[in-house]
Amino acid sequence: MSCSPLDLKDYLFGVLTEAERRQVEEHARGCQACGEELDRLRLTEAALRSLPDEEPPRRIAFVSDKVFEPGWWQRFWQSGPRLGFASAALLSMAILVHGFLRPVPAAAPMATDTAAIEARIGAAVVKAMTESEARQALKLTQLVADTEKRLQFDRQADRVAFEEAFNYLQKKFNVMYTASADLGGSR
Amino acid sequence: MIFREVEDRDLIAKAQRGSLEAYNLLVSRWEKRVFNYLLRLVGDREDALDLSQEAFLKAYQNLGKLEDAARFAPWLFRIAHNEAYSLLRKRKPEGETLREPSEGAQSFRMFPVELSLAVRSALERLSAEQREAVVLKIYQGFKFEEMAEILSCPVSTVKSRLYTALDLLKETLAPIHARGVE
Amino acid sequence: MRHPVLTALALAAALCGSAAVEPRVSRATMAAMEKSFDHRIRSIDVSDPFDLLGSTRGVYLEGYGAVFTAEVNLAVGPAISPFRPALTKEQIAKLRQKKLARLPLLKRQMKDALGALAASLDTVPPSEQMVLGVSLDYFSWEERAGLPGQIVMQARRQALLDVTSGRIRDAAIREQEF
Repeated sequence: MSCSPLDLKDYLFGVLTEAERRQVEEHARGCQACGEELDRLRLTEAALRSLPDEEPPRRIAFVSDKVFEPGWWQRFWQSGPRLGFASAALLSMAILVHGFLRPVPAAAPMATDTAAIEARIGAAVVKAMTESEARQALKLTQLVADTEKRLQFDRQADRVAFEEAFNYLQKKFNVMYTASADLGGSR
Repeated sequence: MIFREVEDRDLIAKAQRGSLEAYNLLVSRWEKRVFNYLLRLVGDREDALDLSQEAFLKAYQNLGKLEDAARFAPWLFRIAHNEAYSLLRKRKPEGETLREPSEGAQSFRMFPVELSLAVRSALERLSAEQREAVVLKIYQGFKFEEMAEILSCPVSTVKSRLYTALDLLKETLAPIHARGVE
Repeated sequence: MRHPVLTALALAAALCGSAAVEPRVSRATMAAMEKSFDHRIRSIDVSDPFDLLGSTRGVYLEGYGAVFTAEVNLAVGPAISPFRPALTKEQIAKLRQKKLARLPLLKRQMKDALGALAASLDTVPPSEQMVLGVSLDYFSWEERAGLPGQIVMQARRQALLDVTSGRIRDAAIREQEF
C-alpha cells in the first residue's frame, strides 16, 4: 500500500540510518497516504503503550540459611542443629584456642573458662552480626529507595511525554476520522 | 540508563561470587518487567508470578554460565520465555491462541472510552507468537537481535511476526473508513 | 408585571413561534464553511502542512453572528514519539523561529477566510459578527516566547463586505491574542 521508498515500520522502530530517516520524513510530508499510514502506525504504538504495567501480587526474594558472607565460626552458629552442635563446636574451638594460649589446666577450671570464652565469643559474634546486618540493611534500603525515586521521576517524565504525544495523535486521528466520515455525507 | 547498566553489572558480578543480597536487589529491579512480560504471555497473574519465581531461581542457579553481564536482560528473558512455553505447552498442546473473555469486543470505530480494553482485546486476537513479538519490542524495548536471542529464531522471523501483528493491531486501534480526505 | 398569566402565555407563544421558524443559517451552509476553512489551513503550505488538530466547528448565534473555531499546530517538530524527544536547545529555538515565521501566514488566511465567510453567509444580517478563533498547539518542551495560544479575529459582516481594498477590510478586523 505504501509508496514510501523505505518500509515505514522500519522507520518507526528505528532500524534506519539517519539519512534514510530523513528520506522517509520528507516523503511522508508530501505524500498524504504515507503520512496517514505513519500516523496510524504511531497511533497504534501509542495506544499499545497506554496499557499500564501491573504490579506483581507479591515481591520475589530469595532466602537461604546462610544469609551473610560466613566466617567459618558463623556458619556453625547459623546452621541446623544449632544449640547442640554449635555449642559443641564452640566448646571444641574454645578448647583448641585455650590449648594454644595456655597450658592445659585441670578439668574443673577449664569448664568455667570455656563457658566464659563461649559467652564472650557468642557476644562478639552477635554484636558483629547485628552491626553488619544493620549496615547491610541500611545500604540496601538506601539503594533501593534511590533507585525507586529515580525510576519514578523517569517514569513520570516519560508518562507526561507519552501522554502529550498520544493526545496529539488522538486529535489528528479525530480530524482524519471525522473528515473521512464526511465523505459518507453527514455533518 | 547507563548508570543503571553499570550497577546491574556490579550486582551480577557480586551475585556470581555468591552474594545473595546482590541477587535479591537485582531481582527487585527486574521482577516487574519479567512479571509483566510473562503476564502478557500466559494471561494469569498467579501463573505469571510462579513463572517469574521459577525464572529468577533458574537464573540464579545458572548465573555462572552468563559470560557477558551486559547481555543479562535477553539472557534472563530467554529463561522466562522457556518457562512460559513449558507451561503453555502443558495447557494447550497444539499451541492455540490464548483466548480470554473479551469485554466489549465490538469493532472500535471511534476512540473507545476504555482504551485499555480495546488494546487488551486487540492483543488477544493475535497469535501467541505475534503477541510475544509485540510485547518484547514495544513493552520491553528489546532490539531485534536481542529478541532473536530470546526467541531462538532469526531476526527476519521476529520482524515478520512483529510487522504482521502491527498491521493487524492497526486495523483495530487506528481504523480508517474511507480513502483520503481531500 | 401586571398580568403575569398573560405574560407567561405570550412568552410561551413566542417561544413556540420561534421554534417553528427556519434557522437563518442552515447546518449545511455552516458545514460547508467549516470544510472550506479546514481546506485553507491544509493548503497554506502543501509541502510542509500546518497540522490541523481540531476540525473547524461553526455555530450561528441568533442576534450575535457566526462563530468558527479550529485547532492548529503551526509546525511539526521532530517525529512524534512516545519518548521524551532528545532535542538540543538549538533545535527547540529553530522550531520556535519557524513557528514565528509561519504565524503571519495563518493570520493572512484567517483574514481572507473572514472575508469569504461574510460573502457566503448571506442570510446573516450585516450588523452581526463574523468570528474566527484558532487555538494553537504546543508541546510542553517547546519554547513559546512570542507565540500565542489562541488568535481570535472578528468583524461586523458589513465591514467585511465593504471591500474596496483588502487593506480597508483588514483594518476593520479586530484581532486578539491569548
